[in-house]
Amino acid sequence: MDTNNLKDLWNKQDAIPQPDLNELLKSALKLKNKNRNQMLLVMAMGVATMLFILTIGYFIEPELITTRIGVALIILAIIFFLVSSGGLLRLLMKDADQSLNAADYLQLLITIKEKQLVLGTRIMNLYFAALGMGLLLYMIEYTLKMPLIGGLIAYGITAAWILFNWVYLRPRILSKQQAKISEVIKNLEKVNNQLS
Amino acid sequence: MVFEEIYKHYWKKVFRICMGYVNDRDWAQDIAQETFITVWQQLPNFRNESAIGTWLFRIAANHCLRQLEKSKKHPKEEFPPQIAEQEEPSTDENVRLLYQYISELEEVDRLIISMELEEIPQAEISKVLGMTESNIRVRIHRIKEKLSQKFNSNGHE
Repeated sequence: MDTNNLKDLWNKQDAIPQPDLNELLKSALKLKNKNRNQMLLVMAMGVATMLFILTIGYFIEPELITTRIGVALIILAIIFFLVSSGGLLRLLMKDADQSLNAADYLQLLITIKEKQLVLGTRIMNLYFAALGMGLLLYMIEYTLKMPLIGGLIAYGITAAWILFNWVYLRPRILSKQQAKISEVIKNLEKVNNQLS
Repeated sequence: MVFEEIYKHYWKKVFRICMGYVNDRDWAQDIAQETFITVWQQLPNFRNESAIGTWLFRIAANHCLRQLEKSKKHPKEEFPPQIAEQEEPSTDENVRLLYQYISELEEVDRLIISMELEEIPQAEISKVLGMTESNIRVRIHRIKEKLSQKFNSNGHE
C-alpha cells in the first residue's frame, strides 16, 4: 500500500450527515440546563440541611449542648457522604480549559484528577470522623441518665463500632472509590507520555 | 466567524478525526457533537490568539482524549433520536481497514495521523498537540510506515 493512497482511502469515509443546527443547539442548551440544575440541587440540599439542623436544635430542647453538637455533626457527616459518593465533587470543581493544547490539557486534567482524589479521601475521612464524634457527643446526655455499668457498655459498643468503621470499612470504601479515578489518572499519564 | 459557518465548514473534518480516533461512527458523531457544543459555548471567549482551526481542532482533540475518562465501551449520550439514528453506509473494505488500523495505534498517534490525512498543516498539528514540529514530522513518517506494513501484511499491494 502506497502511503499516498492513504489519503484517498481516508477521504472515502463519508461523514455522518451534519445534524441540524437547531437540534445541536437544543442539545447544547439541554446539557447546560442539566449542569445548572444539578448545581441548584446541590445548593438546595445545603440550605435544606442547614434548616434541618436549626429545626432540630430548636425542637429537641436537650439539656446539654453536646447533644445539639452531636446531631449537627451526624447531619454534616451525611452531607459529606452524599458529596463524596454522589459525584458532586466533580461538579464543584472547575473543568479543564479545552482550548489548551493537548499536552497542557492533559497535564491540567491529571492535576485536577489528583486533586479530586485527595479531596475525595479527605471528605470520606471527615465523614467517618464527624459521624463518630457526633454519635459520641449525642450519647453523653442520655448515658448520664443510665447506671454506670449501662453507660460503660453503651459507650463500649459504640466505640467498637466506630473503630470498626475507621479501621475496616473506611479503607475498603476509599479504595473502591479511588480505583476508578486512579485508573483514569494512569491512562491520562500514559497518553501524556506519548506526547513527548 | 459566526458559529453556523464554522459548523458547516468543519463538521466533516472534525467527524473524520473523531472517527480516526474511535473507529465507531456513532461514537465519533457524539464526540464531534460534543466538540461543536463546546465551540458554541466557548466562541465568545475566542480571542484570535490562534487560528480558528487550531482552536477548534484543540477542542476536538481534547474531547477525543477525554474519552479515556469514560468506560471502554461507547456510552450513549442523550441526543435527540433525530440526531442519534443514522443509517450505516456501505464502505470500501480498504477504507474500513484503514480506520481500523488507525484505531489500533496509540492514542496520540491516532490524532496525529488523522489530522495529517485531513490535510491539516504539520505546524498546526504541533500547535494542537503541544509537540514540536520536527517531532510531528518524524511521527507521521513512522505511522505511515506502520500503516503500510499492516496493509502489506494483510495481502494488499
